[in-house]
Amino acid sequence: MEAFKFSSDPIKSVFNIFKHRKHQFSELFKSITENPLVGVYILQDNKFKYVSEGWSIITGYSNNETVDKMETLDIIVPDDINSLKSYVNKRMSGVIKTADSQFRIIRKDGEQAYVKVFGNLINYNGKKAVAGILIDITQQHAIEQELKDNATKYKSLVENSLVGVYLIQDNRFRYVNNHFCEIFGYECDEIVDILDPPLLVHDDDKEKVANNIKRRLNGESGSLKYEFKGLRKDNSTIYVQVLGTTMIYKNRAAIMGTLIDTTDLKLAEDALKESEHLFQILLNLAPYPISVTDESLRHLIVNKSYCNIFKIEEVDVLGKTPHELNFLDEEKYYSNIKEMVLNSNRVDNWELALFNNDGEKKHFLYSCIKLYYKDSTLIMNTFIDVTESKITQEELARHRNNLEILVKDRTDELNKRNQELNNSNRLLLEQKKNLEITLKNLHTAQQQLIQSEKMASLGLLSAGIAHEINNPLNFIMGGSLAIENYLKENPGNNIVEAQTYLNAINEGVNRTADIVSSLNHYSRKNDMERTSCQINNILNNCLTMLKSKIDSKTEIIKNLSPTLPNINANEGQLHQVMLNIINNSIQAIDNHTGKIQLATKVDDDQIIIEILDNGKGISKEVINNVFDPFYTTKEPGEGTGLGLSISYNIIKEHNGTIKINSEPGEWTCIEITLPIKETTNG
Amino acid sequence: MDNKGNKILYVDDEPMNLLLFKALIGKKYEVHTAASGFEGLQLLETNPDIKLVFSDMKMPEMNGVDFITEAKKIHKDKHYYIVTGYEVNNDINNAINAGLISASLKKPFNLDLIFKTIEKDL
Repeated sequence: MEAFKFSSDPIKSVFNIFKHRKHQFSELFKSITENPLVGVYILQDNKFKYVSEGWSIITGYSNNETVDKMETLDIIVPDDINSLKSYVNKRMSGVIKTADSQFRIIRKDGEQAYVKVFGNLINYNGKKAVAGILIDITQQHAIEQELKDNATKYKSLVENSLVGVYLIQDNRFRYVNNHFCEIFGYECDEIVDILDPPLLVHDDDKEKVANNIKRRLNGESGSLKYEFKGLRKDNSTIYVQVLGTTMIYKNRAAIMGTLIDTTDLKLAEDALKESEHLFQILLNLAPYPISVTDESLRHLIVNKSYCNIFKIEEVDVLGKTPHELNFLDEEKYYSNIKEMVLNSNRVDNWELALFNNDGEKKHFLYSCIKLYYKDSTLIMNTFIDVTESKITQEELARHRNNLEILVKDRTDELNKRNQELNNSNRLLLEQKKNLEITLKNLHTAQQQLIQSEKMASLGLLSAGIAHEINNPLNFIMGGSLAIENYLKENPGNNIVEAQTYLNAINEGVNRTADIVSSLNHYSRKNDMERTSCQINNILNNCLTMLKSKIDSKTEIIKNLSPTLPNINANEGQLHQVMLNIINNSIQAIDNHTGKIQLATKVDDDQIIIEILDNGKGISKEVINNVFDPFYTTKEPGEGTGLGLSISYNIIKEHNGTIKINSEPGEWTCIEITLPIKETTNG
Repeated sequence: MDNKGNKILYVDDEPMNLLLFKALIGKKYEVHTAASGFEGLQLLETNPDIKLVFSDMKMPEMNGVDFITEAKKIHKDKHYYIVTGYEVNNDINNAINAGLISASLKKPFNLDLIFKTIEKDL
């Protein structure tokens, strides 16, 4: 037991303690050997000679199963046999320190366990033996293994990270990963422990970066995230974002951080910013109100024009709906817009009235389009302010309406006036007609007056003349007759020859007497007086009276009925009628060889008198007027226009009819009928 | 038959007419002439057997109808005639209608008609 003394070998020490202070440490020894975590064994002649209770607990084999029966090879994992042998050899050759004292064993239950062995040579029962202790490190090993795995994992993670990782201490990079190097374009060994960190920073941001590092090292800030402009090895500029944090590395303060190359992002962001800026400029430059709203028309963006037109600050609009802002004139607009957007995704130039924030009504041409942006639906709205033109339009419409009303009023008024005028006109026309009739009557009366005056004076005159002529005629006639008698009473003279001359005298006297007689008839004073008249005589009288006017070439054809009865009539007036008509015929015949045919006949109870000539006739236009008073186609002085009118009136007074027919250029025929028996109305 | 005894009075203010009447009618009848109504009336006084009286119509102071009117008052049994250059006028018509005169004859003389009238009424 002398061999047991304190040495650097802990097991030996324990044995030495036990050897020298057996009495003192027997309890201790016992506690160790009975410690379930520590197994104690003695190996001699390749067989276990002693195993403690701890051994049994670790290996699962009992004392009886082990001692003098098992050897190390029975328990060691075959893969570890060589390393055990190497360990044993080292120990045997006196090497004390060795790290390779870990082995795997196979427990009785078949499970593997990790053990650490500390063996030592001893004398046991006078023979060399190995005494050792065995500690179950299975659990510890598992932990170590996990740590080792984790370390590998993290290292791999860091090494292969797409994020640059760095560690700075004492103003030097103590670690950088591959990506960090890639970002800055260096090799790892060009950075670690060599490169001054500020060299990776662009001059613009050197101060900022230095400041941040200082702040973190001073503990003023824990972790810091910021961006700076970096400088690559090739002097090109990059943008990086770092997230650095302070840590203790090897007992001293250090900064560890990750770094991302945000150059692309930055450029994209700049471009975006630029385009946003442009967008903003455009938006605010647009003369029309523009807004972007969500689906419920809640404002998200409005431009300056929008604010100007709606008289509202941007901040007061955003987040609110037109409805909440009391912009809507009528609620139906809102639902209509929603419906249209829903159906067609857009609205084009829709006329819309909205109130602005000052309560003024504005008219717009409203357009909107639905668009999708970042998973949400937006509506882009544009407004064209047409208030002024709308007002103008409305005013125009109002004016037009007023005008229409005015025009209508005026028209109504005019119509009324017109109606009144028409009525007055009708009245006037009626009065005019009455006046015309009166005038006509007056004319007729006047003509009759003129005529009767004329006739009266002519009657007086011709009566006087007739008397004065008739007396001398009587002298001639009487004288002639007396001569004739004388000649007859005193023969011897040539009575025959004298008779011829006397006849000539008598003829002259007779003819003269006829003319005077006709004149008398024509101008009979008492117009109303009816006497028994022979129409044939009247016609003859008239022919006689007009004889001087009748051209010698004109043929007078008389078809006078020999049985024509006398009628009671005003002889003078009938003379007047026949004279007028025959005189017209004479004038119509003019210069060519003409015919005037006078015919009388009886038809039932009336006499028909027909006076036909082959003169120039009467045109259709004229024929209706020939009975009108003062209507004449004759040269001034040739006719008064009264002849046929007076004739018409005279025949009417006699209850007869007078008709005129004519073929222009061919003939004219006047037919007069007169009742044979005088009607009692006269 | 001899009509010489039948006395006829003719009144006219024209002497020529009186002359011619006497020359033409006087061959058959005893014709007395007067140059005015007054003279005619005197002749009728002195010759009450005058059967037929012919008178001109238009005469100064007393016309034919006036004369006949006066004459007929005294000598109702005689036939009176007007012989005139006028066509029939109202005075003559009225005289005929009143039965004052038997007929109105015209100048210039129609001898046939005058003789027929005389023969008819004698």
